[in-house]
Amino acid sequence: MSKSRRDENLEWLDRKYPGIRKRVEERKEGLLRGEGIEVEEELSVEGEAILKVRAKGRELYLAGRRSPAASARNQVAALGGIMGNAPVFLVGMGNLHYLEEVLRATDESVIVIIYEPVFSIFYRQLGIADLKGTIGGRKAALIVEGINEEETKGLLRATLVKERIPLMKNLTLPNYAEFCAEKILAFYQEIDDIAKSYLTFLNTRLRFISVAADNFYHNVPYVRTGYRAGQLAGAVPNDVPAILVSAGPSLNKNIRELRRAKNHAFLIAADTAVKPLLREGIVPDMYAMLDGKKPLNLVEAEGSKKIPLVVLVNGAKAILDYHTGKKFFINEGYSYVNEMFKMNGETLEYLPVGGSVATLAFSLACHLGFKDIIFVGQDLALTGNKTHADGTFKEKMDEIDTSKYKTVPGNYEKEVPTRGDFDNYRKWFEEFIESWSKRYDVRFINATEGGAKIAGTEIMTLKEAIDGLCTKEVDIGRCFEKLEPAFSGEEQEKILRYFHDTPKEIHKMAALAEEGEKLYQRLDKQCSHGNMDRKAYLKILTRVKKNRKRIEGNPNYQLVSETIARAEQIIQSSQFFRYDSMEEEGKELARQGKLYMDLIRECAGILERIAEETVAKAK
Amino acid sequence: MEEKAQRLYEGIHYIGFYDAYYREGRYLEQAKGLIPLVEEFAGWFLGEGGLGLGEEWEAALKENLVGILRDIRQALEEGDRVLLMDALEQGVAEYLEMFLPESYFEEREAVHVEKQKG
Repeated sequence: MSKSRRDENLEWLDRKYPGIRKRVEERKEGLLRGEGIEVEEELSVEGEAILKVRAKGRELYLAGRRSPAASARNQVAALGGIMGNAPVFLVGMGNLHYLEEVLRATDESVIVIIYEPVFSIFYRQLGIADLKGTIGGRKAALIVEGINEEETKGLLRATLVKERIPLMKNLTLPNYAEFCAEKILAFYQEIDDIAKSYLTFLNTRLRFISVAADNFYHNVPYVRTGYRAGQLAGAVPNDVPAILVSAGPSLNKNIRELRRAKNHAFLIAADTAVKPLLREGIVPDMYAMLDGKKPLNLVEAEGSKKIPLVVLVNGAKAILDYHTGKKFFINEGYSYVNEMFKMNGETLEYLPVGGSVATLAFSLACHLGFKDIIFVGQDLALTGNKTHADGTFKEKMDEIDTSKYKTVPGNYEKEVPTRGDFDNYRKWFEEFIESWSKRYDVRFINATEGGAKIAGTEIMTLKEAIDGLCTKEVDIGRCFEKLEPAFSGEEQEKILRYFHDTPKEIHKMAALAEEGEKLYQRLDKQCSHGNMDRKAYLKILTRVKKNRKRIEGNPNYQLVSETIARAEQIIQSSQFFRYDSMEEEGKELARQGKLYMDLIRECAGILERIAEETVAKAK
Repeated sequence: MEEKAQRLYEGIHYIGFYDAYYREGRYLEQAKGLIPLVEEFAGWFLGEGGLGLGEEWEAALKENLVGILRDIRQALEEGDRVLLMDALEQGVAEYLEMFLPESYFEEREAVHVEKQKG
């Protein structure tokens, strides 16, 4: 007996997504019944099977009765040119004409994600469509509600990688929003979250561009004499709770309660919370700082200088200079720093940072193995219409008009106003907690007593949390005292020589950029000839690649790359653009390449001068 | 009727184009504005209009047009954008094309080519 179309499709899908066939078979009855959507089939004038949906008392077609493919042709054309490597999101399978059109209009590098929010439609299409014939070997992924929707987030994250984000296209098939608007919105929300988090990353990069390199070369000598955050593992006892003190407006409500927690918990504060804590006579065991532009006066207080500090190497240099206590560093992926460890046969540990000082402190507490982590002052919202606690940026923070702000569910109030950056951090916390909880048995307690609800945390007053959990006495300060710097005296000497060579190394990069610029000029010349010599063209391209590899291999390159982040972003996204001819493509490549090399050369010149004034003078 | 047919034809294409490019979900609302012209054209075609193709053909064309009108009514009642677009673009517009002179399409094509050239 020959196989049915549905069997053929399921067999093919099962090879692509092992286990999907079983899930479809097991869940189909429940899903078909539960969705309450009837999918009917009828023949179009052209004799093609088209689908019609009965839902919410309405009857809606998914393809035209006269020309089922016409609307797909027009709407896909209206998306404009779809670049190679672009992610394309299709919401709804419909009659598969939209998918066919997208595949027809694009090359094989394009990634198509099809999200079908209605299982009943997917199931009906299994009996009609030829999925293998339509999709074939193209890069296409299928998400079906009720079957594999839990893979959405991972799939979107894998597809929406940085430079591809600006290239993405999306299309919701007509009529779908009439019967499953909520699911569609949730899907787009996931895309929106990823794109926004990339935007936050990019904006953070851009915000610190002007100071990042200056801070970096100024601060990097502190890494030589400082400590690895990884040294804290095992040194700081984790059988007491970790209390993460942030500077949200609710901190004023229960800050005094924290006095009882001192010496009964590991108190780690966000930089902005340091001054309010000291004013209450509470010295945190550690504080965190990452902002390259953080003003010194936020931590400038009697007693703050010696508090151990976990910090990023490109944090505000004035704060690092002011601070005289132990400084702990993490691996931020800087080759320049990693080289310092590598030359001494050591490594610096990575730690997810999350973009804010609170996320950094929280991530550290988790990685140090604490089993009870208590949030205080972690509002992630404008509780009482204030951005921060009193005594931080101002003695009395201003109340602002939040009537037009987005609101989110609160810990104590039904809803609280929030800001885009606060809300992104809240989502980061939630995702981190969700993934951490799958691997470790940790209690996350939100003792903020105000602010936004963080999924995955238990809400408790600080008094209750301290009474219940801070029962053991501990001397964290003593644990810090025992720690030795990451490098021995001899190792530090070696690093010092490396520092002194830095301007020379940066200069090498500038020279390579000059060489690269000349190569691009040759490429341009080659492509401007009427009759292009393809062999010569490819030869230049190979040399261009080698030149770029050498530039990118320079330990100082990341600092250059960060400094020219905006231009780099445009160039990286435009690498996917396609041109009609090799000559045209080569000319465009040469144009961008010359600009890029010019930027590198100019930037390297600036960094060389900074390095001469900073690391080169380190003693 | 030619002028009205041209207006309706352009209207149908405009709202389809608008919907595809701007994705504001206003197709039904915009299409409703064309219904009086559709009704006028259909009334004329089913009454005095015709192409002189012989009784059998004329009857088939009229029956087909009645089917299109039925779909338009159903689409408006159900709020069905797919059915409405199909009925207007692949149904009514095809009838209109039969009544528009060749020179009209040649002009449209010329404008399109100019636009492509930039």
